[in-house]
Amino acid sequence: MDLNAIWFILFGVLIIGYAILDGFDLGIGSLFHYLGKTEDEKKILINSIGPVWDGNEVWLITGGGALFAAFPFVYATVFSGFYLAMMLVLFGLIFRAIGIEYYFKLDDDKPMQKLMGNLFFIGSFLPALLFGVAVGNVVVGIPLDDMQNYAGSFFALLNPYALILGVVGLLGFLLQGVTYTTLKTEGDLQQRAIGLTSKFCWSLLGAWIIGTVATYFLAPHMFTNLNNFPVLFAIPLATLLLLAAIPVLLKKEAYGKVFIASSLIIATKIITVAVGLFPNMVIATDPARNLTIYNASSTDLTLTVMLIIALIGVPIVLAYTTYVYYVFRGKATVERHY
Amino acid sequence: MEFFDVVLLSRLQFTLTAIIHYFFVPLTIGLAIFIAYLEFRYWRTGEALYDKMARFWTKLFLVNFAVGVATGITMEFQFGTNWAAYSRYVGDIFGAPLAAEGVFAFFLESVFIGLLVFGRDKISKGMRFFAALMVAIGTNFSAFWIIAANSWMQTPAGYRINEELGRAEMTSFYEVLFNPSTLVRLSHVLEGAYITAAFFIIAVSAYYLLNKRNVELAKSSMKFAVIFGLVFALLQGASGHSHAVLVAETQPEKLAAYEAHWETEERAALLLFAIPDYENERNRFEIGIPGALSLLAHSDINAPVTGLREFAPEDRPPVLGNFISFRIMVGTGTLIIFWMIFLAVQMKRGRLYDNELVLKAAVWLLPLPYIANTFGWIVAEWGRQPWIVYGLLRTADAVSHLSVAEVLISLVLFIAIYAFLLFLMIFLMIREVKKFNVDIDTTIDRPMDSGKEVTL
Repeated sequence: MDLNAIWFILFGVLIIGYAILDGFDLGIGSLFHYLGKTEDEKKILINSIGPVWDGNEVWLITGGGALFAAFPFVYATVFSGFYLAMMLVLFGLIFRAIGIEYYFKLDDDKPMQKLMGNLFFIGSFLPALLFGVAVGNVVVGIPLDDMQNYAGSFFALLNPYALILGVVGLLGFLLQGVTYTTLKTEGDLQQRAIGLTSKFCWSLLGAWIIGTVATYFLAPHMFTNLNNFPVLFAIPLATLLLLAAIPVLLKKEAYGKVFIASSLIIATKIITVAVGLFPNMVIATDPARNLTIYNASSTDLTLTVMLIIALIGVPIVLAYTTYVYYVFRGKATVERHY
Repeated sequence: MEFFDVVLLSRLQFTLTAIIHYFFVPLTIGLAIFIAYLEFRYWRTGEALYDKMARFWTKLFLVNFAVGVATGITMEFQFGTNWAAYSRYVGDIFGAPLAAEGVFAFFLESVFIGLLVFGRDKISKGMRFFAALMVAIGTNFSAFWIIAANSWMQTPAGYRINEELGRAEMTSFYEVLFNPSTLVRLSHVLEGAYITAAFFIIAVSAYYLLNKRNVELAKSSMKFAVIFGLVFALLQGASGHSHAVLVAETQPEKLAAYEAHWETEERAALLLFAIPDYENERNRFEIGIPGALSLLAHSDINAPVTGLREFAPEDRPPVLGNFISFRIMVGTGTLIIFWMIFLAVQMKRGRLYDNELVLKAAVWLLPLPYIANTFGWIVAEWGRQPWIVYGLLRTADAVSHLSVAEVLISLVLFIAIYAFLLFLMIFLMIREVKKFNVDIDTTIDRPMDSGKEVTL
């Protein structure tokens, strides 16, 4: 395996780490008003992610940095090409940060606190939907000019295929949000989250099947690697089995396992896309202009330096992140912490 | 739409987002150290005052940190969204420090701030100190990676040009990180951050002393901040000077623009006032101290100082804006040094805590370091123009392939959102300071309005 392939995988690991961890933050935010019926419930929801959401978001920041460093041409093409969509993601993440961090601070100013709640909601919902839309466009192919610049419009990004993948992504985050809520809460709130879990599970199954069929017709190139190495069909199959397992696990009240299953669904969805794309990273309408892990990458020296950084840094990050999650195990409370 | 081109709009957007982001960064960097110090003292002595102080300053730290985080993501995304040509050109070099910042710095501060704030009652005093220390190390280490990357844009090193791909490629990561200006600029930036934190702590403490509230906390905080601020203000004077010497050596046209210095000459004057005449490449009017610029830039009153005329007009940085901005930075910086010395002398004489006039001034002078920081970045980046990477890539060639409408939309939204963030943050900061009472505020860990009696 060469350095370019290794970095393709490492970038994938960062994105999976982000989607699993920040996934429940985004899910909870997207369902903030729907899950949290009372003021106390809303506070519990915020507290359930309060200690960890910021660290979770760093997976995205590091992923962005890694993409810039390892595959600068992909970073440049996608970020500038999806300009207004990226701005919406950015504004979303800004709103979310403020909504979460200032929610308790405005406890005695109800209209402002309500605004913070709304910022948390919209700031979670927008990225949760748009991440999948971006993936959809990269997968189905975008028009690129001879300078690798996106040659389409903002509204062309909102094509039906991309929107389907947006919904598949969104439902994955919603599922992640409710399964995490189940673990971190008690009483009515927990019951509501459990009720939603099976609903989102079935909806995701439906959306996933529609997405797969749409991919078969609209982005058939995504099946090339699978057909060449049929053993890889195990990955999308795993998504299906995990989806099927969730209702069973729910009945057994094995909520920890439900959360793990939901996390693994996010992982297998991303791996399925990665396997379909490899060695491409961005599909262009003209296949000769595809951005691949070879024509879009940095030099071997940079990839090597980055690999050393990752090998030293990531295990340390995982160690203290695990410790912090361990400290915050158990149910979230309604109290103000700052 | 002639007036608004994509380059200009993208530059305005970067300027706006960077300046507002940097409004929050220095305080985060400096205050994190103070908090770690307080947690250390509490861990070693067990004195309740240190616990209260740590909690209080962490509270304010968080108000500031939230917006710092929110506006920080913009900075990383923006290279790709608005400066795609730049990103392609420098990605092989510039991306690595950004990724390293994520792995080695951002994770550290973000994960441990959660532990410090939400975990207070779940972890030991020693662990609390450790968490605060990790936040401090994370924020400071973050500065290293960013300054290294930015310094590479000023004084590129450790690269070669790949003509075929039209980009710069790394030949030595060490030389990229420790390029000629990294360490001087890092010390300049960190000292600025520590001074900002000192001014902030002093202003808040002065407010309490004026209002005779939280007096013990305020005195103790102020004592630390005055010493801390004095040390770094003095160091800043020295590092500011060595920075100027370095610029004279590595980016002579930048210094010439700061000084509105057109003709290469010996015994060059340091101008206090000048009106540049671009057409005739001289100043229409100027007042200066003869020989002072030669002395400052080359430590020799007779040394020749390179003038702007040595450079083709299209390679010269804008003169008037840099000349004025540089004077604002140096002026506020000088004021800061004198003010810190004055405060230290007052403190030594035991006249600081009850001198109403001085305390009031301490509150109102809080903007000084913010002004100095802002104009410091303006001259650093504006003085590098017309280059985005000095001598290698022009700013005009670095921009994304976007329409004017796209960038105009995002710029307008950024202005609206950032104005809101700034307003909200200042509003909350003032409110937190005003309502805090060290004797009844239970701060972190207990419900605000539970009504039950709490022993601290």
